[in-house]
Amino acid sequence: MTGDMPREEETGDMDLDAALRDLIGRVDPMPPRAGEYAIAAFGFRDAGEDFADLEWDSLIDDGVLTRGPDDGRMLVFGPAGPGGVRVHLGMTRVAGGFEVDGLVEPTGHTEAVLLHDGGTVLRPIDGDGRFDADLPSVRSIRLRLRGAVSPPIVTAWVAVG
Amino acid sequence: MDPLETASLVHRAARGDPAAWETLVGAYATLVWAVARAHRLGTADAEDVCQTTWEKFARSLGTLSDPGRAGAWLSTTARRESLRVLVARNRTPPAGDMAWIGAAREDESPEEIVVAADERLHRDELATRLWEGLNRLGDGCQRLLRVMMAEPAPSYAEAAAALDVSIGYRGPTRRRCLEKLRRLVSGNAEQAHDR
Repeated sequence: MTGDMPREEETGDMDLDAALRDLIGRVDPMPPRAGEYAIAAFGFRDAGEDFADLEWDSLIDDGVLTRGPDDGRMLVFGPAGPGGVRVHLGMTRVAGGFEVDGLVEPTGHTEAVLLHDGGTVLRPIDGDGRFDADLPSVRSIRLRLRGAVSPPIVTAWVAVG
Repeated sequence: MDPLETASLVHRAARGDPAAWETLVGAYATLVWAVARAHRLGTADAEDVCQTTWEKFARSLGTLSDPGRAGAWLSTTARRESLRVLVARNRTPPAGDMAWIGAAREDESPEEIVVAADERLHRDELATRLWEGLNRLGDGCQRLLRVMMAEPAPSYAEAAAALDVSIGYRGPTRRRCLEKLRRLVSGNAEQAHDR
């Protein structure tokens, strides 16, 4: 026998590993839908829109993890596209949903589409880059900005409620 | 997966090769799922995390600074998305770096999860003992073992990214958690024989 043989304790770990892996595979398998999402996500690679990832989230990036979402929440997306567009989004929970105030910098986009898990809300963006909207109680949102200045900009999905 | 192979697949996928993308998904989809579940997200929230993580990955294919570490990138992104979902759902994480797993799932109560698992494990004594032992482990060990049990098994770097710990932390902690689990399983077996 060689000195590379695993010790008894290690052999036991390997057995336990295999048993655990088998157990998890039986009680908590990845649903097929999650795999389907992953395959379909390839289509976003060249979707013809600039992506604005979440850059700052007051719920997390304030370093105040004990604060709940019932307080006002600020989100900043971007920079996106050659113009470095940023979207500032304030969300306040109210009875029945959320009040949303947005600011797009630099200006130029004219329409904000707020997509959520229950549908979409279209709102105009004024000359100062501002828009607002009322949303029902939703779990997640994302924004799509349209205008003549650049390709559409789409933000990441964010869980809100 | 070997970093060079991963990097090659990322480059091919960035150039539009769907087969390369599917290979990457095959290699890492269960890891992303495991990270979400390790944070005790329910099915719907865990699927949201998977969807968001893979979309971000697809959009980042051409700009990854280290394509060979795509698995760690996915782990990190899934962890951050899971944390964000937990906070947004008003499930405040405790302060400890490994201790904030106490959130309830939104679509299944812990009792329902246990009952469903018990039914799936019916007549399998070893699996039942393992399941009972796993549920009695501390949160940190549960989270670590859930990530480590992704199939295929994650690398040290991928697991460390999923858990937000140093690579050196994982090995000793894994051994300690497995030893705890072994003791719990043995204890369960002795209790079963005493009945």
